[in-house]
Amino acid sequence: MTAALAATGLTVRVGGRALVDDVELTASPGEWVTVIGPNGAGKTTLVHAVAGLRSLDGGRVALSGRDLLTLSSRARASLVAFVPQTPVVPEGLSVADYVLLGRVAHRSLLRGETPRDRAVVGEVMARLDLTELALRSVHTLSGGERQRAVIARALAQEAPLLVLDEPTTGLDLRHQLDVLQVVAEERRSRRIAVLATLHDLTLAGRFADRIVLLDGGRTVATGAVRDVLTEELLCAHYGVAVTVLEHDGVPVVVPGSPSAVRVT
Amino acid sequence: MRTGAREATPSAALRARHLVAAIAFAVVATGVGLSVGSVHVPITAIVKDVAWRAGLGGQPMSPVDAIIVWTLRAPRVVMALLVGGTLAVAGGSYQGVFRNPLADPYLLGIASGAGLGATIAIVTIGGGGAEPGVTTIFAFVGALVAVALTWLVAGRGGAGPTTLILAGVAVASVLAAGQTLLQQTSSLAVAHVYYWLLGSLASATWSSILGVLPYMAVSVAVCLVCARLLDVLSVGELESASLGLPVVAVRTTVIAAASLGAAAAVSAAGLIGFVGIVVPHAVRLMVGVSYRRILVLSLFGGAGFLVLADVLARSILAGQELPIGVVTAILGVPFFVLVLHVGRLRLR
Repeated sequence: MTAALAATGLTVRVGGRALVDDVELTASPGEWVTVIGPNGAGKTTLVHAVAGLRSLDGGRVALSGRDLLTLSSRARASLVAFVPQTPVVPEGLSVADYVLLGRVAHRSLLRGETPRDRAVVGEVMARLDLTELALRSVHTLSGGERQRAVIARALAQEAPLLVLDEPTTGLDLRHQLDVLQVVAEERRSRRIAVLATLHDLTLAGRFADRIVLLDGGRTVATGAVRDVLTEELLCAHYGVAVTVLEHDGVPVVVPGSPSAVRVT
Repeated sequence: MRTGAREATPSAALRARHLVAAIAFAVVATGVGLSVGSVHVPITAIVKDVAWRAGLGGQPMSPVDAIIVWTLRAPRVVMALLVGGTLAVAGGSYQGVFRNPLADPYLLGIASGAGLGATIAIVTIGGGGAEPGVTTIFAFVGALVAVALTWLVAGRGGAGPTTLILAGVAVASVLAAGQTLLQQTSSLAVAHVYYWLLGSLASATWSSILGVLPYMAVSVAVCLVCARLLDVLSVGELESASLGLPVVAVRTTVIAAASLGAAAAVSAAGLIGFVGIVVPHAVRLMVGVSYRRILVLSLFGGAGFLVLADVLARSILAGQELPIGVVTAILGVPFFVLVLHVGRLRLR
């Protein structure tokens, strides 16, 4: 089976400094890979590069077997959908129109929406409980609803790879879980590959099949959740003592050493 | 809302009633523009004359009135329609492509370039008063050279909108300085240059209209076709790229088209401000943020607006014309304030 994403030797430099340095990354259909790492590790740069939103200084990215560099904007957007960390939400745009933007890649640029575009968008909005909000302005939605609209727009692209940059930013506990569950359900039912960056390590552990730990632009650990979310690795790369507990068979990452955790 | 059918209802498309209202506004303004002046010719008489010429009954107007309306006023009104519509579309397009509500058609140095070109024509060729046609050509070339310079200074297509705006400011300053310098060398030219800069439609003729019409038509057509892409661009460069928009190509195309139209408008009528900002904003406040609506409605809104402004320019002071740039500012700002407050009751 062709991987939705296969990147090798990925390198991005700015002013001679490598923000992303020789990174290898793969995601198969239906697989969820989460990239973690301290601030400045290069997570956002990495996912931007994978999504074709910044140029590479080295390495290759293949999306569903096709070389990223040979793809037109539209061809690329039909192979990878992207949810940015802080989406730009234009004032006055309705939710339906916003989600319809996800269909740009599926028609010639100057054409209007086709019935199929409207059908796909209607489907996606129904799956994400957005139908009732269709005519509301995206601007007036709550944080959780807005993030669902952004994800709906990405899903409307019908791409085999979904890239999310910190999708839980600014959301409360319930909505963090809600957003990740929506994504989990989509990847299960449609077998899309998911590549996400997350700061919350416990949520990262709960939702990923595989975790990539990035530090200083390089992959320092990669593998199953348990193999990467260890006290030694996290302590070494986040520069702070952590305690990894276990709950429900999932690692729970608590900042601070065990004694500090007990005291406070 | 069709919640039963699982099909999304887009709401940003152009509505027929908005289009009809905008066209009606431009048509009424045209009627007023032909009718009002030092000699008043009733609109009914003009309508009857048109009908008579079209062979649909009606009744011809007197030969004197016919000369006033069709020979003297009509070219001027048509030029006002073209210049106003083009400037409004160009302004709206600039606002979309720069995602900046303050963008106007002169953002990338067009005004200073045209000013310098016109001054060169007036000072060097005309010896203080060049043929209007020559001034127009020089202004047009000057405007296009200015935009091209801005483009080069900013590092061509790869530069972001902010870099382009800054480059535009730099180029405009240099060209304006050059224009001032040149104008100082000829005291005779100062009045002509000043008059040109303030804008006027008085010199419009059918042949000058034909001279600028092709550029304006191409400009407006390209901008209108790209309106849908400006709607995509409204989510920012990064996200619209992720959605499949070729951002640099779209930006280059829209800027080139809008600049061509603005250059043609400026060279034909001088520096007419506010139309490019006020009209698209007024439209936006009334019908929402979609460029599929804003641009086409701005075309007719801007056209009608400039005709009315020109009517005021030639009729406020008896026997004397006000520069139309002054009128658009005097008329535009209160109009804008009104729309800002009343227009909140969206005409959806």
